[in-house]
Amino acid sequence: MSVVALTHLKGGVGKTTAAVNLAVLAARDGPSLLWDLDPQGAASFCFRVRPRTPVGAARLLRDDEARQDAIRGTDVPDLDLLPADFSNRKLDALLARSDARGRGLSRALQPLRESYRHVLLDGPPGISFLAENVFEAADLLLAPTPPTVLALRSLARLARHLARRRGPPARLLPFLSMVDRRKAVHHRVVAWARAHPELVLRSDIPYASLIEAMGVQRAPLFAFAAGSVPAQAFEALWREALERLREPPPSAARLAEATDELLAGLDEVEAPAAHAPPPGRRASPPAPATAGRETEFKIALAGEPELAALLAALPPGAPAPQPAREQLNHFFDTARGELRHAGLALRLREEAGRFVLTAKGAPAPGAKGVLTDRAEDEVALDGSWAFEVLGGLRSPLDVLAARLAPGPTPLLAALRAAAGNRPLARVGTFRNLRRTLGPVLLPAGAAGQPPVALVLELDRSELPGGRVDHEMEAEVPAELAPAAERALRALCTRAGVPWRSAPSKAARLFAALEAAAVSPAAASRARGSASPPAT
Amino acid sequence: MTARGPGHETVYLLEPAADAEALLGGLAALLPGRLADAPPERLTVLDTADGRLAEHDALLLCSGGGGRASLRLLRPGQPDERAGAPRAPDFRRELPAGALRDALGPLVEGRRLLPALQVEWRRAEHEVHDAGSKIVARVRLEAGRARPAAGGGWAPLPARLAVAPVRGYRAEHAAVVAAVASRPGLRLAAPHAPPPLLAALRAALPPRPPVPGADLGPSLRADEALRRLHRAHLAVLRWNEPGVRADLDSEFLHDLRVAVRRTRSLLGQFKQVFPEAEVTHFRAELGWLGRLTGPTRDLDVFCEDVEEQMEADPALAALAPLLACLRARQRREHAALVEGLDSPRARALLAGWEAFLARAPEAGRGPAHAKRALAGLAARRVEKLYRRIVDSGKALGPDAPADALHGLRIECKKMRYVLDGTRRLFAAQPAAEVLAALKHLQSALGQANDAHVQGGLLQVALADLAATGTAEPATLLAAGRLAERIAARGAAARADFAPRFAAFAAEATRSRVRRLARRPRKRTR
Repeated sequence: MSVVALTHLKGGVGKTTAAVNLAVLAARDGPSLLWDLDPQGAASFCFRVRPRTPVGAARLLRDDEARQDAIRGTDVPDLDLLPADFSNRKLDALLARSDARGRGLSRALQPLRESYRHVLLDGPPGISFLAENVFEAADLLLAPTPPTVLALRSLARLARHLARRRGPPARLLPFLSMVDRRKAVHHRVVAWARAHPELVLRSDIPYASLIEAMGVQRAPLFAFAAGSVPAQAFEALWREALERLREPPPSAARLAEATDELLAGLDEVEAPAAHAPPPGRRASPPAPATAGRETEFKIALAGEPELAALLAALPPGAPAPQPAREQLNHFFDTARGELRHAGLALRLREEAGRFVLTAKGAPAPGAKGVLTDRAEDEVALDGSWAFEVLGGLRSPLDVLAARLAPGPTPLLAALRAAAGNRPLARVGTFRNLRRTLGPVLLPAGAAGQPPVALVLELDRSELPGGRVDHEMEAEVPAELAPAAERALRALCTRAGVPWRSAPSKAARLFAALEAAAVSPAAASRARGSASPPAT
Repeated sequence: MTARGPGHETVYLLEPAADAEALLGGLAALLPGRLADAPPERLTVLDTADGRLAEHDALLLCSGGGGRASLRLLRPGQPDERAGAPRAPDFRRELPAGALRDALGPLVEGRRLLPALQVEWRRAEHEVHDAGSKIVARVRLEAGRARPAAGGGWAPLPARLAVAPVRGYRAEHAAVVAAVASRPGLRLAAPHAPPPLLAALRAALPPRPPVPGADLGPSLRADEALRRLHRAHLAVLRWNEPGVRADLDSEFLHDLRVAVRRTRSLLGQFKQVFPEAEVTHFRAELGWLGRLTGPTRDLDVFCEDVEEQMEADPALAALAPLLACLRARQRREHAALVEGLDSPRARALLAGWEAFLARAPEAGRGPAHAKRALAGLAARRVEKLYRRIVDSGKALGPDAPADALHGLRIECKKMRYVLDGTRRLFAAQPAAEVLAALKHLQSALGQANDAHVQGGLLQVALADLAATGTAEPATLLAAGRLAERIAARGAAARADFAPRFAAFAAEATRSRVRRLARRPRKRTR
């Protein structure tokens, strides 16, 4: 494992920019870790990583398990991050107390040796106990140095300090950062660096607005500008750094001397213009919601032949069924099936990238057989809400409550009462292929009555265990139910299809689950856990 | 997923009727994040002829072309290793220095990498984001088809859907798995199930010949048992013959030679099992076949040794012209070998031997030991050979001539061939311990012999080089350095001989041999 640290006495020289981009390149060689030691947490910000729960500086240093648990993956394959939190400000004092020889950080890195090919350290500026620990632990100290007087002064000071340290010589290699070759002074400093290849890395990083954009994008250069000039510069820098790792360390004393020789008045680099704030999370459009009643005819069909007979019995000129649409129907309940036992149902339906959460109440006492009349609350969701429900991150009841407008309904209250405090989980899913037919004008079925316009839904449901059900549904306003019933009965009679009711889809799902030797309770236990199934 | 994070991928297989495109579309609508759909990829799976990578559950994938090949090594529980090369490598040594080449070393050693499977492959990956657009999990769909590189039709590979965690985002991974699990048409892959590509590779690799001796039982009569052993050795010979002819790598010839030597040795050691006239005939012909292969094998070993030394020591780079002479000689010897294999004599030998082995055991009164159990014969043979080795070895001092060491080496090989072939007839532990001690002794004798042979080959190569009239002083100096190293290796091997022989001749090994001889196994393991 190699340990590469980005270091400088001065802040704002490009340490974190370099650490972030070099970490991405290091990961191309193999699993790598970036340890963000700076309480500012800029590297963590760039990678969009926050500590799940702040570990605390003391545990981070001393507790190997806590340190391992704190490591998080970045979006870059093979690159992990040990993120910073504000307690990192205490690292300095902790290290000073624990080990006067500056080896606390080296000890903390030891258990990571087998896991990572490269570890990069991004520390705060300045000379401190933390910095001394970084000097001790690192195989290579890279010092990004803008070609300015102040930065060069700090570099010389750092080099003198390292030259005086006891122990094996540190491998300090500065490289020029934020180079603007239009400036005469930068030009001079670059020429100086070229004249001292043994002391200063040849590769330099240009000033580039793309680098500034990293903070806006919250991503390393390679995520949004791979192949750009600054990205290529970092690639060259990394290659050169790896080569220099294999060579004897250059003389820090000589570097200090050479830097002192160069120092002169330099202009500061202008700060680039600020960029627009990052885009916020895409706001969900207002969710259409309905709270009312469902009055629906559900006629069970004994397979494709009866379906074909019905279609054949339609009046001439009736439209053909539209192409089938696939729906996935997910049902939710408590582990003991409290919603089901109360005659209630809670379903999330997916169709062509659209999601609808539907609560259904118990059938009204007067409706029986083919006609169902029940309360129904329905809200449309966008994908992120649907994911949270299916992923077990949010209760479907909470989502329903949040999305129903203007507010809670009696059905929602009934669902909450049935569920109590018990968690809801997905208990089953089945696939439904729906073909919509209509509107079609059906003869009234009674003399002197006008025809009835109905939209027919022809469903083919594939239930767990391989069972396949067919049914025809027609949803009508309650006041039209008698006329619709006469028209539908007449259609069935003409087709020779018995007038038989289809149980609700929820009921059929639970029956299929039981028949497949999985009870809703067991299915709920299996599918309701937040943990993933065994791999 | 970073290789070092906690947790593993959750893998589902798609039911054959499941629509992968619809599944992916549904997930893309459901899961926040970004779908990256890579174009279909065509790649080749490489392995050795004997499937060493598949044996280790590893896959070496090669894609690309037009002057740039991309290689990827997949191993269970280890990070993927990647490398680029101008083209698909024939040998590991052609790869650039790096982790992939290092990882391949213990797996394939010097064996040639051959195309085993052609794959058309499509991978789509959905990055699942949190509210801050940070990737918190990845869902990857892989589907494709494969066919053996040697020819054959395309067969679909079971489509896989994997949910890969990102370190530190366990809850998010669990949510994604729960969402994925809500899709019909998926079933959880069995834990530790080989990926479909590995299963396809194993199916595409040619079947290996059975291990000689694997089907021996203690009650088998000697002629039947030895026929089985010899049939297995013949299968090994036949399996390796095409690789020898094509000179794919040196292991083919090594394994072919070992099969020939074992056969000839066992024919000679178990007397009065087969008719004497046939034994004499086949031993003579197998001896001829063995000698036919010798020069090529010696040159194979020496050339590989010289190449390794040149790679390890830049000071030996000047050996290149000498190596060229060695390779030229190796090619000539190989051509002669192939001519010999094609000769009527070789064809008659193998056909006759095959016919002999196909014959049923003698029904009436045959050779004296034909009907006896092989276990007893083998036990006595092992004991006799052990005593002979110990007696011969005791007489050898530090300055023993190479011929004498070679003679002892031959005796050791005889014992080794008997033990290797009849191992299942003995109790496992004493057999293993005796074999370990024997191998330890053989190693020193083998290295001493190699040094002797290579010294001679070096002289021959130098003569070849001199004949070209282009021998440079640098090459001659490097050859001198090489000669010194060969001599040093030989001396070290001779120095190793005494302590290793002492261990072999010690009471501990002697008593193990006696136990072995007294108690052959009564039942098959």
